[in-house]
Amino acid sequence: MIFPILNGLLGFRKSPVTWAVVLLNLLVLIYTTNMGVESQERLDELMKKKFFVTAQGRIYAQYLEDHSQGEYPDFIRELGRQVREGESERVEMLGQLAFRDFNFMHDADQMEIEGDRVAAKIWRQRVQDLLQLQDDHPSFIFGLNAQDTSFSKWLTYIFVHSGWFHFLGNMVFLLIFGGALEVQIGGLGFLVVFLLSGTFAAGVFSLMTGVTSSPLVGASGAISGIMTLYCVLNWRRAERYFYWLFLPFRGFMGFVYLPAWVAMVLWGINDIAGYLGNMPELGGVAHTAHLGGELAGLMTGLILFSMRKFRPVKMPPVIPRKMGVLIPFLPPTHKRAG
Amino acid sequence: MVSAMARPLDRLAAAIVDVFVLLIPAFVLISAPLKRLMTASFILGAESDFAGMLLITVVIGVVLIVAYQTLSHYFFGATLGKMLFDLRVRSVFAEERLGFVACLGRSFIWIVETLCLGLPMLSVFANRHRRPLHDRICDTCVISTLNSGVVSPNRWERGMVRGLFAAVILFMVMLGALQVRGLLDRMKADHSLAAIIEREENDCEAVSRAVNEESDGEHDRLEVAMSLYAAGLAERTCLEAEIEREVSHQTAAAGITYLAQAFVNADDAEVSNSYLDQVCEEAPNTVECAMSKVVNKWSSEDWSGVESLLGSADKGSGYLEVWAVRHYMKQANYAKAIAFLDTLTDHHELADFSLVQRVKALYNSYQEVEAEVALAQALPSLQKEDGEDISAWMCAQQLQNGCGALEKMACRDVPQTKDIAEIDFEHPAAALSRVMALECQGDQGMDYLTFSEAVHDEDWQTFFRANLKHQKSDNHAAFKLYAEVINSNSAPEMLRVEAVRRLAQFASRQQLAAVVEMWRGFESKESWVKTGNVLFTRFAEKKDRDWAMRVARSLMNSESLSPQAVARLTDFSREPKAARQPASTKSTEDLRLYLDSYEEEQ
Repeated sequence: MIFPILNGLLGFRKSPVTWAVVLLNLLVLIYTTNMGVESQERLDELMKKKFFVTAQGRIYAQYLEDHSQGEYPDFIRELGRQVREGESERVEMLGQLAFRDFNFMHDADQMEIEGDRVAAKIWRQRVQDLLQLQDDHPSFIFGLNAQDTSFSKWLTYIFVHSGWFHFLGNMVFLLIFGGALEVQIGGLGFLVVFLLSGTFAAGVFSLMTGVTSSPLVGASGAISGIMTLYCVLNWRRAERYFYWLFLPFRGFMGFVYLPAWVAMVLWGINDIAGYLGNMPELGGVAHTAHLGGELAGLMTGLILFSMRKFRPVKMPPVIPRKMGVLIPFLPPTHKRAG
Repeated sequence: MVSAMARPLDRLAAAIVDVFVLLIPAFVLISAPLKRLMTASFILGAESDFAGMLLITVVIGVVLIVAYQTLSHYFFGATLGKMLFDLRVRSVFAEERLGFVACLGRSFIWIVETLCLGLPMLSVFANRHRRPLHDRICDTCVISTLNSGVVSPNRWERGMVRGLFAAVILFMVMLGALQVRGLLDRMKADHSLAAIIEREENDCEAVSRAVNEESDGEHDRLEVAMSLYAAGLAERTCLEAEIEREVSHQTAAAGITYLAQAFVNADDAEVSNSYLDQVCEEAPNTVECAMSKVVNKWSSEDWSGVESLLGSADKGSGYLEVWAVRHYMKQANYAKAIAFLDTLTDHHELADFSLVQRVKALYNSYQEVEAEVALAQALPSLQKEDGEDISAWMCAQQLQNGCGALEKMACRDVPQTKDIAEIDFEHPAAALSRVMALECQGDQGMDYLTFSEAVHDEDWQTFFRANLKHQKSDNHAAFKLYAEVINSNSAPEMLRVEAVRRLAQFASRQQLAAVVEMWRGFESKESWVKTGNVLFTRFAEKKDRDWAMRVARSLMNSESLSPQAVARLTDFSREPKAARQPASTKSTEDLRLYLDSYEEEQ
């Protein structure tokens, strides 16, 4: 395991805007968590009901057949065909996938459904319940989803997180990289890059993955931009990374000094692999939003470099004797000499 | 030989860096498109595509590792991880340059060792020059350029590796033995491997078999599935699969499909009720519609409504008759149950159900001889397990009347064993019949203490402890323990009835009166009837006319008095205290009048 530490967490005086953004995210999380507890529970309960999901799968298969001109991935069409031909073990999967299809979910009332009338009636009722619950759910109110793709959502989605783990994971990176970047480019610069990257991430996500009924939430796209910009500005600077080689022995845990670009490359590889390897139809991490943020950060860095007047503020050096050396358990100050 | 050999932990750390920092990110990136295709194949159930892509992914992984290690060792003498830890791979022949083939072979063997959970690599802790298998085969060694290496492993390291090897081998042997034992147990239980395979078939094979066996092809698959499900011969998943099949073959759902959906979705009341309501809209005046109404009446516990519907509905579907049989058996109305069983003769798929229920219905309606005949007819046709179950049930019932039952047909098949480990307490009838048979055979009394200690089920434990107390003449404690069994919600019904029967043998008047209160709370009608008759007989034997009459009144109200109880009641009515009654006959009406007058007198 390797994790960038840089200069660690900087205090509020050194990076006030970063802390303000973290605080804002925290307040929004507390507000939305309280606001969304009930609707989330009811949504989970509804979406796990086997009868509802299987009925939806069967109806979606018919819908796919009726909308042969629509743009659907081949595997979803194939899945629909299989369900129509009676392969019942695929019905539930198709039913789950249907939740993401905005047009299908919103056509429920107008659709002509053949076959089981009771299933159709109950499905329609429950879809209405589901849509009503979504209207009251903070992820749908603030997140970027097919129901509302207005520009305001391109900004508000950044400040909403789906839960505490999502929030903590993002904020750790924001504090480390955001704090370090704010010292170099200033609070206003940080805020502009943060919002710009987030907006750009939403744009790339919309283009590459497409906005669906499932909302896009979280600051990770914006944070990707911050991380990338920091790595570009400090391209060859030796940065401190924490490493742990899974064994509790001396030498298996400590700090290693590697160029800043290592973090960017590893992060980028993870997102490219995630984009290439995961099916967006199945949901999960929005790798394309990360890539959008990274692209925004990269472009901002290149623009700043091209404006030759810009010089990043120099950070206090924590460079060891030799780049790439493993320094088990020793704090960087011990290795500064040399 | 180089003296400064690399420390094993440094080598491990280098490998971890190589794997986690370089190889895994590279592998994830290269194999990402395949992962996507594999996910799609998995979802679509394209097993061959999935397997093919999995194979390609594995090949990519192997090629990546081999290429990285071989090229790094050949050109630089170390991988990146080794460089970070100041390690170098050298030929054991000091002057010789590391050959390409040696590097290549070393990488392949490294992969094989990794696949063996890294166990062969542990030899770095055990051999003198700290060379694992891949070094020894390829004449290489790994040295530390910092000159801080160690040479030979000490005794502690060697001991640790040998101990680890021994532990792994022992673990594997134990695992293997457990697997073999598990297989043997299953084979023993199922008698043959073929039976195991047969059992693992999809339950809906039962429907296919039943449909194939049908000579006239009169019943459709869903109807057969409904019947088998009602009879407990098919799982709910089977019915569900048949509905799926039906739905995929038709554009409009039929009444039977809606009815089946109501059963399948019984856990979701809203869905189930909607389906039931739809049945009569789709198919009014049909047997499906009648069945849906029956289910509605069941829900509201309107038993007379249920019986009126069952009586007027068309016969022939199979499932309606099976539910009728189950209803009447539950209500202890065995004559009606037998009447419905008679209508099932055309349904060969339900033969096992019919035979078993007929034996039970005949025996419970006090037609023991007819029940024995039915059992004799049933045993050759029934599956071995079902045959054993019904024999054990009847044997346990007959043994309640005395050990002479051991000579009867039902008890002949009950295994005569004294080993408690061979008794399966999960099957109450089988377990009770074996225990009662043992009690009959034991000359010096049963060792209830051993039984109570060996059995895991709490109710059975209490039952045996109660017997033990009674054996030691501690009737007060025995009463409390028997009462625990009788009041237990988890105890099998047969065990509760048997507990009452045993308790009644020695209980005082007050204790019996307390049991009557427990008896009034019995939910199973069959148990209620049997227990009630036991209590009435016992009160009658004790000449406790008041309590006998109270119990008799309850039993008579639900027409559940046994012929023996009727005879005793008739005797009561002939006695001088009731001289006002003209009790010269045994008609139910006369007895009812007698009970009325007795109550008035009190």
